Amino acid sequence: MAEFLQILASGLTVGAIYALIGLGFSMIYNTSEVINFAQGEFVMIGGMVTVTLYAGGQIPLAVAALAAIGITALVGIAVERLAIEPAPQNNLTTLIIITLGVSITIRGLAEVVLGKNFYHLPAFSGDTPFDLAGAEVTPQAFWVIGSLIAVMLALAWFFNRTRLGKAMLATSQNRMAAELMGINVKMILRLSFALSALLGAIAGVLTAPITMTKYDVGVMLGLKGFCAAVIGGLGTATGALFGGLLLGVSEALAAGYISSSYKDAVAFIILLGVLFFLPEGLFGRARGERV
Amino acid sequence: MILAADNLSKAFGGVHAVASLTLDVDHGITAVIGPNGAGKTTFFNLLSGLYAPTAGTIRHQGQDITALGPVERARRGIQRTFQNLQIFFRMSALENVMVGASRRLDLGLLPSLLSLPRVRRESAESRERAAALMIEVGLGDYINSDADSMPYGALKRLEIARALAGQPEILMLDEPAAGLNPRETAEIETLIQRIAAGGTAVLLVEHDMKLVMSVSARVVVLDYGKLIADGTPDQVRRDPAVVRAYLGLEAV
Repeated sequence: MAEFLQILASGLTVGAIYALIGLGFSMIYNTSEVINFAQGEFVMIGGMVTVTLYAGGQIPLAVAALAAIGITALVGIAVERLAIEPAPQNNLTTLIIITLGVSITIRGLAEVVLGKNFYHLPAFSGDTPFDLAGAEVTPQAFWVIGSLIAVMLALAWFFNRTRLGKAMLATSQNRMAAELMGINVKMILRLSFALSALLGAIAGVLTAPITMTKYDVGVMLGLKGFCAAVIGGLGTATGALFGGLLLGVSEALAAGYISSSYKDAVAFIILLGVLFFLPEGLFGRARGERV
Repeated sequence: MILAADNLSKAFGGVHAVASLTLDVDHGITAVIGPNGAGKTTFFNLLSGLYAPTAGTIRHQGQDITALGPVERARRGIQRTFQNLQIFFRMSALENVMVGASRRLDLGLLPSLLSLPRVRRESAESRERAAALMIEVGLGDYINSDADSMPYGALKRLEIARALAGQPEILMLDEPAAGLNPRETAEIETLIQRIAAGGTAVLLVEHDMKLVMSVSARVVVLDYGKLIADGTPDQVRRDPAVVRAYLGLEAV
């Protein structure tokens, strides 16, 4: 039982990270229908910039983390403004391939500027684990899950209570009608990239003390976040949340009871299963053709 | 005048949907009629900025707005509804109307996001305004409804309420009575008259001739993208060119 709880705890922690990344995929997909394969790089930038500022710049960890999240959000806006906006908007495949190019470029720049080493951040509140019914749970796990809850609440407030959030929802539901209401759709697209980058960076900062960070961690984390979003139903927040947690727990179970070498395969097996039987994802809704 | 089209043309390949149209729109209710394919909806799409004209200019309050996109035009107070409903279906009716007020929402986002009390106050105010507007257009029963659960006739009016939320200077209604029963059509008629009486110019595309003739001060008739008649309902009704366009040459 203790072993199971241990596995569950680490699965939920990793799953929360996947959920945060998946939320970023869904947010950009909602406003633009683009699948942003540079999402993983936002995670990497969040972690790597924090490490650089903290270890290299002798800046307190909290300040370094907030600065890194802010910087990543700016990178997100730059990606939209410099790579997505100038491209012809009528071909989604082109836009998606552009995000792949952006991802490779950012990774290359990070390799040159920040180096190829593994970096480690200290855990935010020390490493002394709590004992939960026999399972040892690190304080960092609470940080991760607490952050996910805080992010979900903040997003719910933003979309339900603010007019800007409503404008963003309107854009995702009917772009033409939104424009004709006077909503600055270009600004909304930039905002969605900024928010996605922000979510990715939060995931990157949170996971750096657990898994270490490197210029290319974004590849695998991005793919897992993508799986989480698709399993739950691309474009829905609940989908990204439960898709992420399901994925994290399944991976942890596979690693704990079968072998850790099958950990990554689990993600893709679940993804294939969901796509075969529930192509809209667990929480997705059928999407009509946009006219 | 509020809006002025000058030699406006739009061609799709070889089809001249709108051909050298010159037309001023002023306060009051102006109806645009014509047989199917006459270019009425294309004209609306040109005015609201969804299409760029092949030639010609559009002026608003004397300023050339031909190069402006739909967002800028909406922000100048040119609002419209659609022939096919363009509702935000995954929102409540009230939220649809709130979004309609977006042109008056300054999206300078940081100040609005950083000041929670201000966001809260604005959100409460816009909710109240939207609810009041819904009652005004006769949607009082649907304030808490989800848009996708509302009947068609109510959705037609919801689109009008959403457009009115932006306090438009000119409102373009694209077939507001299409698909409505006689009672609902009569309600729409009263609503259109109230909107115009409130100072909003109304440009109306409509196939229901009874509605057009009783509500409009001025009727313009398009055929094959060209203006063939312009006058009061009575003048237009007796115009031989109009009769020919609608009924065919042999009828005359």
